[in-house]
Amino acid sequence: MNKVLEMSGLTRRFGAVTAVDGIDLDIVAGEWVAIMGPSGSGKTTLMNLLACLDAPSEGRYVLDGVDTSRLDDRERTVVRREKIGLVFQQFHLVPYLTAQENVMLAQYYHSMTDKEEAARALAQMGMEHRLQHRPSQLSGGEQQRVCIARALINQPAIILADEPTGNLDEQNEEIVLDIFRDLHRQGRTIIMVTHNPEMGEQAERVVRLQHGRVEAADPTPVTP
Amino acid sequence: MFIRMLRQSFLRGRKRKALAVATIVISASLISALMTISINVGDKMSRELKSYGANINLLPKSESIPLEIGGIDYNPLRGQSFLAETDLPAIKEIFWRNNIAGFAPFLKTPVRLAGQRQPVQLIGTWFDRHQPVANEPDYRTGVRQINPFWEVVGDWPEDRAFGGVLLGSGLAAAAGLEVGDRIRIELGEAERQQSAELQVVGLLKTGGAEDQSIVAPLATVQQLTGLPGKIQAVSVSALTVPENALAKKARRNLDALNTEEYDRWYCTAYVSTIAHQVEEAIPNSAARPIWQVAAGEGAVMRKIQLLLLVVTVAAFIASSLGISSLMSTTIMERSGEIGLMKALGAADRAVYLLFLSEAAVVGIIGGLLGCVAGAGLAQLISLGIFRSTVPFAPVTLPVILFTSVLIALVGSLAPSRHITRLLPAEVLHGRN
Amino acid sequence: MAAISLQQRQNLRMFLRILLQSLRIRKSRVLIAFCSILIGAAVVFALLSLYFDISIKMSRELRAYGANFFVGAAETGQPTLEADVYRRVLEQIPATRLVGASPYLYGVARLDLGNAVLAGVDFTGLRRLSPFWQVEGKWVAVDFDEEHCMIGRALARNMALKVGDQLRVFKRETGFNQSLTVRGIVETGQAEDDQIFVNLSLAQKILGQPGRINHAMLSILSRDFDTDALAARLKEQLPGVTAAPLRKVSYSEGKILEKIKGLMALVAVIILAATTFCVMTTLVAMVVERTREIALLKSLGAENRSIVRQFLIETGCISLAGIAGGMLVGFLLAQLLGQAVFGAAISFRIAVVPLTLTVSLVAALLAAIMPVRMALRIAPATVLKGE
Repeated sequence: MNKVLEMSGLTRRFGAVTAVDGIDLDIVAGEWVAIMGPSGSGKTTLMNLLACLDAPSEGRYVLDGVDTSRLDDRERTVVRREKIGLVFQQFHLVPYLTAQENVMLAQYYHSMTDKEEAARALAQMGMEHRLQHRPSQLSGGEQQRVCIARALINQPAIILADEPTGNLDEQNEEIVLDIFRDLHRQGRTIIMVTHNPEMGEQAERVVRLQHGRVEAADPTPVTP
Repeated sequence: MFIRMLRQSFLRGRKRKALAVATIVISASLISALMTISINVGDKMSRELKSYGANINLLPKSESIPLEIGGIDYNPLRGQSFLAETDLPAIKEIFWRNNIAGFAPFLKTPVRLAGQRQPVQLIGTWFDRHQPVANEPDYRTGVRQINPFWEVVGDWPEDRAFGGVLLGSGLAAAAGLEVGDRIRIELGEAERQQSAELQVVGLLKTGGAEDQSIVAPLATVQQLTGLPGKIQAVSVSALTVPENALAKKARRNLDALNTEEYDRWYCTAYVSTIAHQVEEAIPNSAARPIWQVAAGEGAVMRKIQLLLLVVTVAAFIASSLGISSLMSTTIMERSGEIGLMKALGAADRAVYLLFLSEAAVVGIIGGLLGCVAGAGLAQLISLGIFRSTVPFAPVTLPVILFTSVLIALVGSLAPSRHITRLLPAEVLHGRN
Repeated sequence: MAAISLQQRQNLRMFLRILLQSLRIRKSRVLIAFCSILIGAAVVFALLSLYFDISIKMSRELRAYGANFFVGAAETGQPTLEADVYRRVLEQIPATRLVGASPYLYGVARLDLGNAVLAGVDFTGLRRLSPFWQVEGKWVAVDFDEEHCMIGRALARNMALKVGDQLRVFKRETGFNQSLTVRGIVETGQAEDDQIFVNLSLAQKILGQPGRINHAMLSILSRDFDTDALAARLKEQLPGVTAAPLRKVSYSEGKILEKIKGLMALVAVIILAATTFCVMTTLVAMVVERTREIALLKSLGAENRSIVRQFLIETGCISLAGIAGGMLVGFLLAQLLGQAVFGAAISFRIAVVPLTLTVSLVAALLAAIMPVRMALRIAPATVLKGE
């Protein structure tokens, strides 16, 4: 069993409010996990902690063999760009860069840009004809595909997706879901935050949050 | 609802509004300070320009032509006419009395230093005399006030004492005299010749005719010449405004002015007006502007006022553009909000109205605070340069308020294309 | 080694691409920042140019007060100088410094209705020397004009003379007896009001003093010019000559110039501060607008350093362009100010260029500090909160 991610007693407090309250969770490589729960259940805070965008108040979080809970901002930045690929609900592309450049941006902060590699990554998403378009010239689904290509480009240990189809129509939702299925087949580890039950069904395992705690989780599957 | 939106917008975007208000405060204070200084610079510089000496010369009304070359009169026989020393306080009782910076009477007579043939001038005047006038019992005036360029080595003579004099530096050098020496002078014509002994208390350097003269207290000269209470001329130093077309017209022919023009002329501190009023106040006198000082002052004052005006305008334009760019940026930043408002059915006009009202409120708050800060700033500048405070001109308040609001509005109108072109769908779907 | 340099090359290219795109696509924002910096630099340039020129310009304006230097004979009484001495004095003064000068020769002459002091002058020089003369009629324009004269206001009134009238001048000692036409009536409020003015050559003839003068008055631009030293040099080189600055004018001139310079300096500093503040608030507003973008870059793993670098270089590029344009506009603005106030061009000084560059860059960087600090404080988690 190859654990890519281990959490124990992970807690995040904002003043008197405890948003995430002692979560224990392990995720093995190649797993597709959906984190679900109603608004205010601590999904976003947990996502921030998973993405190393925020530091826990208490508890331990080991990502791909690195204990991140004691790192400072700078070190977390390094972990983020080495091990995590982020997919956003709002896509978040840099408006003044083309699709290809947006993908290259991740390479740039990671190590070194490679135009061809970025083009290939976009081609895999079916975007080879859209390389030189800026976000404002792309549809929502296309923007999300650029965002996914950007998340994958550095071969991250985990892919974190925050409501990836939340801003998409059905047709585009299907395209994006197909991409995620593909990624899963390729053996990528995917963690997806959503409150869409259909999305949840696609995942191997669903973790339900309620008031910052894990309410119900499917058992950790045995590695196939 | 509109008011509520406005209020919420202010409460929510407090930081952003504070930034805009702060910028307007800074710019408005700068402009109001410059305006205050510009308005008062005439007064202040006029006082500074008093260092050029008196600008009005008051003489007895007389028909005879003096034949004076280099301070020596070649016509000693002409009938002398005099003014009365006791009339002098009337100079401080004219309409423009507060613009009289100082005055000094003069009585001159040719004398010979003992043992020398060449005559020199003995000049009697007030140095720093206590002369009570209406409303100012402590008023002091004399050459020290009106001729600050007079440089004295040693002491200034006492006005009330007899015999202490200033010796012109050129004369002292030629005669080998120094501070503390006693000199004997002879005056009067051959048969009525008399002599007197004077004490040199200081050496005087002016670069003018006084360098070759002896300057004594007025009372001393009146006693020596036997002319008690008599004076020949008065130099008056007055704060004036530069001459304009009206003043020139009045100068050519006073009777040509109609009543309204005359009143306007009489109530403006032109040098000719003050000369006219001094002439009215002192019986039997003729007042003449000393054009070297009066015209020079006018030319220089106009330049300085123009300079400040132009600089103020430049600063005004610069800060308006600065504020405009800030207002534009803050509006562009709120694309999301604009898109939402439009999506909810707001017409472009309604969006404008909200933003313009916000700008107006920001402009008013910024302008008011700016006026207060500007008044303080103006005091600092004035104290730093002129060592005196400036009165706050009430006209600045409306001007600054109006322009602050105007600048804020113009800055908010600049990105109007941005507002009209914005499609709500684009904004709400994150395609910006 | 080669791999590293390839990486550096590739990343530099990406950096430049980001920079270029950011400047190219965000046109309206960049334009606003560019404009505000341009205006700032223009104001700085114009004010500095004006400040450096103000002494010279005002010093020229203050020449409205007339002569500030006197040259005469060393002995007291009524001695005279060779007219040649006057020429040698003028040679000692750089032509650009000399505003005007005139020799004077005085004597008493008899007119129709009585005696008057007659002065021989150089009218062309006198006109520049004494711009404050209030003249009714015209100046005597030609140097060798021996037909015309100018008379003082009081003299004209006493002798009932008007412009254009004929006036007979006698001098018993020289046997001179000739009619002159009154070309102008002068008013100064001083001794000149009682005098009659003719060309020096004519006065020398009337008074029987060929080639001689009493003294000379000069109007010299005294800024950065030691008139006391000039006086000492003249006394040393020309025996029998005394020379001195007229304290009445020269003393006041220094004082007034100081005040004006101080005023300008203070005003310039205040305007500079306000302009910096305006530029700063614009940059701050621009960073606020880009909060989401910065958060995104951070979530992609951008370090603070690279964000600071991008922002500073972006600001730097806009600033340099703005400053370059600003200097151009500032120069034109200075000319406009110069024409409006002094009716003369403001000279271009190369020293103003680096000074403006430094001041504006420092101001722009200072103005960028606060927004950059704000940028660094932006939490990357901001990206996840959908707006």
